[in-house]
Order: sequence, then C-alpha cells, then structure tokens
Amino acid sequence: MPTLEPDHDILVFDKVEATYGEAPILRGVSFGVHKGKITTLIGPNGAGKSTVLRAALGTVRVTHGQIVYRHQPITGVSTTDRQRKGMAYCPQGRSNFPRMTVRENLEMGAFLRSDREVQEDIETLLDEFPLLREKQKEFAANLSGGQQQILEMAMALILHPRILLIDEPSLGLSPIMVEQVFAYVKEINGQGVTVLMVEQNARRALAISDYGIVLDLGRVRLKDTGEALLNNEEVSRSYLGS
Amino acid sequence: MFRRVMWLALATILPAVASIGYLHNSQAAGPIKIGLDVPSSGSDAFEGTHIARGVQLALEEQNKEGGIGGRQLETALGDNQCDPSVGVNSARYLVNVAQADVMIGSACSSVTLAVMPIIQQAQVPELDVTATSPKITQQSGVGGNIWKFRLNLNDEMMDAVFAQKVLAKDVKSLSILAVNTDYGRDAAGIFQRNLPGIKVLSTDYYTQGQPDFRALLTKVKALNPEGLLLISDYPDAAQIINQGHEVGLTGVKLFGRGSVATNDLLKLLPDPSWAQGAKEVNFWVPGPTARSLANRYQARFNEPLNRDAGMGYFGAETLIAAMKDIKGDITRKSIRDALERVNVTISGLGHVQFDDHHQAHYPMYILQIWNGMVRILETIPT
Amino acid sequence: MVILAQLINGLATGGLYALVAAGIAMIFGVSELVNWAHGEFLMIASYLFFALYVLARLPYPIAGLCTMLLMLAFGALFQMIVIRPVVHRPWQTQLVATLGASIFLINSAIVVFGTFPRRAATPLSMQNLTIGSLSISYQRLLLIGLTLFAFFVLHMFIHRAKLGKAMRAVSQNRDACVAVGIDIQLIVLTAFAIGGSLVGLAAALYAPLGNITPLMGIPLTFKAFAVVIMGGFGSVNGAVASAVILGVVEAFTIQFLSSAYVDAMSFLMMLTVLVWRPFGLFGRQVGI
Repeated sequence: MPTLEPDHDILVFDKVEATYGEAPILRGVSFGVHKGKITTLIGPNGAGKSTVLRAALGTVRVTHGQIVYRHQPITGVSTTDRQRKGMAYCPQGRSNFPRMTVRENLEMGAFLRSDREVQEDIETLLDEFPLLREKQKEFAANLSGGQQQILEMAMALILHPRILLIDEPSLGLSPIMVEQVFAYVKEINGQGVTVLMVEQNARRALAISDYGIVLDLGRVRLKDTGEALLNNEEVSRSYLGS
Repeated sequence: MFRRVMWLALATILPAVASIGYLHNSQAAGPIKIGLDVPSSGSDAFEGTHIARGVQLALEEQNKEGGIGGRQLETALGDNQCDPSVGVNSARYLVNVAQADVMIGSACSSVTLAVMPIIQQAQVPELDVTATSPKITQQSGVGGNIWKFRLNLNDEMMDAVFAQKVLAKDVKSLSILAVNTDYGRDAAGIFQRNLPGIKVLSTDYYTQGQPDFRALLTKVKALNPEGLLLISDYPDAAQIINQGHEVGLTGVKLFGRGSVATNDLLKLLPDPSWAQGAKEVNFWVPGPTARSLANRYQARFNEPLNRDAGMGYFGAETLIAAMKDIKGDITRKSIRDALERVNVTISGLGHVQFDDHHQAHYPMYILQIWNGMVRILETIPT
Repeated sequence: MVILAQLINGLATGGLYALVAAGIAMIFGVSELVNWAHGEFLMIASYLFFALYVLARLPYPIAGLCTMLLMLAFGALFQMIVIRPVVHRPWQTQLVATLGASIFLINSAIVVFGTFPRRAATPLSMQNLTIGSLSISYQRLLLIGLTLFAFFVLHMFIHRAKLGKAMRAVSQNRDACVAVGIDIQLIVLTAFAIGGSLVGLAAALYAPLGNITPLMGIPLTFKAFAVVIMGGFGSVNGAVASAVILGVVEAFTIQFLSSAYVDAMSFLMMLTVLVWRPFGLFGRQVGI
C-alpha cells in the first residue's frame, strides 16, 4: 500500500480555509496530491469539493493556511500564472464555447500559449481523440454531452499540464459515455499527468483512482487508496450510497 | 438625469431654505436680483448663454452708474435646459431659493408655458425676450397671468405678415421643413393659414440636432418646389443647406423663421453663396442702430453681438427703465406695476410699451443673406 | 431615381448607426454592460478629428487615421477608468456610471469647444458626383466604401484573430474563459478599444458632412441601442445588419410616409422584431 509522502506530492493543501461570500466552505483542509497519480475527492453535496479545485486554481480566495504547488507556496500567484505553470482545469458543467467550432475551441484552450507549435499540438490531439477530428468543423453545441466533455478535456491538455483539475466529468452523461470519459482520464494520467478529480459518481471514480479523499463539511474525513476506500464499510454506507 | 436628482434633493430642502430667504429679502438694502430662467446647457444652450451675456452687460453698465436707488443689480442663474420638466424646478429655485426680484426667461416657449403658473403663484414678474409662441401672449395680461410680460414679437405677429408680404410675392409653390417642437408645429400652422395662392407641396418635421437630413431633402428635391421655408435655428438650418447642396437641391428660394438669415448660419456654410438670397423675418437683429452696443459687447465678451445677446440686453434695459420709475421700495409687486407703465424708447430696438396682453410692439425685421452678409431688407411696423 | 437616391441615403445613415452600434453590441457581448456613453465617444471623436484636421491642419487621411488611433486609446482608457471599478457591481451601478460619463463628456466638450457647432468640411465633402438627377458627394461614396471595408476587417478580426476569437469566447461562456486562462478584463478592454476606433472612423467619415456639437451623440446612442436590440443583444453582425435596414427604412418612411414618423418607426421596428423574434433578427446564432 503506497503512503502519502510529501516529497512526491505535486500539490499540498495545508490547513486551507476558504469562504464563499460570507459562508465558510473549507475549514482547514490538509492533504497532498501524489505526483503522477489519480486522486479523487468524494463527499456529499456542499462538502467543499469544487471549492478545493477552485482554491488550487486561485479563483477562490484562501483566508487561512497555504497551498504549495511544486514545492512553492502559490498564495498571491494569479490564476493565469498557475495555468502557465502547468495547472489545467475542467470546471463542472459545460465549459466550452458553444458557437465556436471544435477546432476553435481547441485554439482557445491554447490561449495562454504564444508558441508556434499550437496547430501541431492540435493535430496530435485530434489524432488522440478521433471523434473530435471527425467533428472539428462543427460548433461545439452540436456535439453530444459526452463528446463535449472530451472536447473540454482536450482543451485542458493543450497546455501540456502537469496536473489536471477536473470537476464532475461524468455529470449528466449516459453510462456508455461515463465509461469512455473515465477511460480518457485514465489515458491522460497514463501520459504522466497528475489528476485531481471531483466526482459524485464515487464508485466508478474510485475504481480508476490511486487515492481517494473524503471531504465532509469543509474538512477531510479520510485519506486512503481508492481501493481501500471502496472496501471501507463506513465509507460505503455514508458516502457511496449503498 | 443627475441634474434632476440634484433638483429633487433641492426641492426637499426648499421649505427651510425659503423661509430663511424670505427674512433676508425683507431687508431692502441688498442687491436687486434678476433671475435668469434660460437654458445654459442642453440643445439650446447657445441661446441662454447669449441672453445671459446681454443681461450681464446691461447690469454692469447700470451698476457703474450706481445701480438703482443705491442698490446694485445682480443675476442668479437657473438653467432650464429648454426642457419644461427641468424648467419648472429651476424656476422654483430662482423664486424660492435665489429670491429673484424679477426674472428674464424662459427663452423656450414650452418652458415659458410651464413656468407661468409658478411665477403667478409666487407673484414674481418675468419678462420673455426670445420665446415666440403666440400662446404666451394669449395667456398673459388681461384675464390671464398678470406677472408675465414679453418684449420680443411673437410668431403670430411675424409669420402672418412675412407670409403675406414676402412669401406670397416671391413664390408659387413651397415646401416647409420645421423643427418638431411646439414652436415649429405652431409656426408651420400659422404659415399654412396665411399662404393663399401658394401651393404648399409638403410640410415635414425633423428632430432638432438630427445628423442626417438627406432623405428629407431628397424627397423635397423630387417635389421641385419654388421655395423652401425653414422653421429652424441656425445649426439645423446649416445642416439642411449643406446637405441640400449635397443631394443637389439647388436653385430653390430659401426662407427662414428662427435664426436662418444670421451670421451664425453663414459661419457654418463652406460657401456662403449656398444661402444667397435667403429671406427671414425676425424680431430683432444687430443693425446700424445697435452699432454702439455691438462694439461694447464685442469688447466685453470678445464675440460679435447676436440676436439673443441683444434681446437679453434690451430685456435688462426694459427692467431697469421700469425700476427707475418706481417711487417707493423695489419689490416684486412694484416691478410688475412699473412694467405695465413702461413707455420708453430703447436705442437699437425701438419704442417699448406693453399692451393689454403684456406684449411689446416695435418694428419687425425682414432680413436677407446677400453676398455673404446679412442685410436688413425692410422693417415693418407691428 | 428617387428610390435609388433614398437607398443610398439609407445606406449612408445606416452605416453611421452601424459603426456606433457595432461597438455597443461588442461591448455588451463581452461584458453584459450597455455603454450609454457610446454616442459621446462619437462626439469626442468628431471634436478630435476637428482639432486634427481643421486646427492642426493635418492632411485628411492622416487626421482620420490619428482620430482612429486616439479613439482606440480613449476606449481603452475609458474601460480602465470608468468601467473597471464597476465591473462587479449590479447593473444599476453600471448604468449610472456610463450615463454619468456621458454627461461628463458632453459638458467637457461644452467647456472646451463651446456650444457653437463646428465644421470640418473636406474637399471631398463639397464636390458631388452627379448622374442624371442623382447627386452624391464624393465624401459619401468614400464613407460607404470605407464603412464596408471596416466591417469586413472587423469580421475577419473576430473570426480569424486570436484576440477576436477570444472576444467571441467571452461572449459565449465566461466560466470556460477562466478555465482556459482568457483574461476577461483584457478582452473587455479590447472591445472598448475597438468600439472606440470604429467611432473614430465614423467621425473621420461623417464629421465632414455635418455639424459637430456637444449633443450630437445623444440621438445616435438611442438609434444604435434600438438596432442592437433588433440585432439580438451582443451580436455584432446582427447589429450591423439591423442598422443598415433601419437606415433604409427611415429613408423610405420619409419619402413615402412622413418625416414625423421616423423616430416612431425605429422603435416600432424594434418592438415588431422583439415580438416576432424575441432574441433579435439573428438570435444568438451569429454571435460576436
């Protein structure tokens, strides 16, 4: 059973507190994200899972504690600078540009890049995701929900991220598409990208995760391997809905 | 909008301020206050600004001679924006807060008509110098508002005469372009009633300050009228003449009512010959008899005297003449009574005396643009 | 011939509406904020052109180009000074901010240039091309041509350039912009700068044909607002097309109905479009 060794953590939360408006959402969250692995945050609605991702990206203000990314505290670093340093983000719900073509969406994914290899990278991605190549001239709005989710993951990948923060990738997808999306998450991870995922579909998510973190009422309840959490009876009862 | 909010705020604190002001007013030693109920911003700002300057010059000259009965004359400005809703508030300000003894304005007919009940209620005399709606005369003096006076001639007096004595002689067919306001619509109506024997091919109304008259002028051009009557002030008239030239509307005889045959218009034409021959009736223009005033005005404000500045000056002179005639205290009431008695010849304007409806009578001017200048074609007694 | 002449009149007027409306639509598209001072942008631009062409005596093309560039900077500055502080405020605050700015700009112009209208006639504006009974000044031919060209360039920018695509992106999904690292404030600034340069062009083309006054922007803001609504709020192509249609409808209303109905016509048209197609003539399909 692997242990959570700080040296191997690409992203560390240290007693992080964050508020949204007036209400405290995170009340001292501490954990590490193991480099090169898939970590999934599970927990009930309102536990603060999405806020963890937003705090990492810097779109939610951290009031106490600190976040360390690649051994450097990143308090005060702008969101775009975090993105330039290899953090990519797929927010919950549709986060593409519906009246732009698939190819244009990918170009927008590369907005922060100013090098000349963007078009080449887009070609490579289109090779990796054949269904996107097929629809590259169509408006994103004309894709199915699952196809749009895959497009959004591809948009995130074009920045060559070190870590992918992905929020509810299976939301609203058909079971077949859920399978495919998780398969892609696994594949992306296989290319060396660390994944920090938030998922309601906790059973399916933990099945492909190396680690799982249970968040409840803004605090970390449990940290363990994905497999161990799946087999934990209390977790099953309280958080996996069975 | 901000201004309106400000007035609203002012209106709420009025009662308190007004009572203080009243006490202050009862001490007769202070200056005599002349309220300027004119537009100093908005689309007619040019008019109010010039009236104010004319008044200022007259007061400065009188103050140099010791004022009236030892009291100096001063002005208070209430910008009415040529907008009745704003004007009602600015007039209340002049009456209640600034404590004007007498007012000059409202310069725009629609504002004058809105403000008349206020001056009647507050019992403050007000003298108009440029508003031309006949309704003002109908509602003033005998059987009406005894606090309202008008120095300048009104549309009914001028337009009927201009139509019969000038237009009817010059053309057989006519198109009318009028500004889409009470003033423009009333004036167009007066002309239409007084043009027997002339075919009015079209009457069109435009929005003051609209950028583009070409569609309108293309339509007029297709009707091919012998004459074109502009019921316009010079900014719009200049647009119409310039754009008319652009769409090929040339060779039409121009007539004006407003401020068409003016130097201001000529300044806005790239080529003054585009307005050659244009005739207009007006209640006053700076002519040879006003040369001395024109020189003093030029020296004081570094700009040539124009109609509105001149009328402002004459308005103030009329008030001064009335106040000089007052035996006792100079109050709102005594100024009003004195205005009714006024019987004075004002150099540059003519003989001023108010009739039963508080309308003054002096000769009107028929003007013409000729070789890049405005000349007085004739004066017609009223 | 009259019909052809009125068509040209309508196109030229519509072009002016379009140059103002495109900026309002673009700014709304990326910031969901109506810039009520946009007509005053045109007024400021016209005085700038007057200063450069008449007072500084620069050659016409250079004065025009400088007006565009200065207005580009003006738009950007306006965004930084007036808009940025109210970006996260409710729409009422934003309304008061842009209306307040409009009043401030009008009164500044009165203080600097006075209320007497200014003119900036060019040689082109004083010479006419005459074909039969049709008479058009060369300036208007130039403005129809350059306005078309400007919209072609704008269209290319929005659909080809990275910054232009990012503008469309912001108008379509702001959350997604955060995800991919598009700086929304930068894009809003770009929209104001482009809106500014479009009215700069409008000023250089139209100022020689009319009076320049402190209040010239007010009727244009309202006309432009009407066409922006007709075109589907935030749709640049929709606003441009509606502007041209409105210009032509106005010209024919004057010719065949009455000039008194012109303003009523634009709002009647707006209402009809809204009843018939609540999302505007082109809906959200075209988009910025």
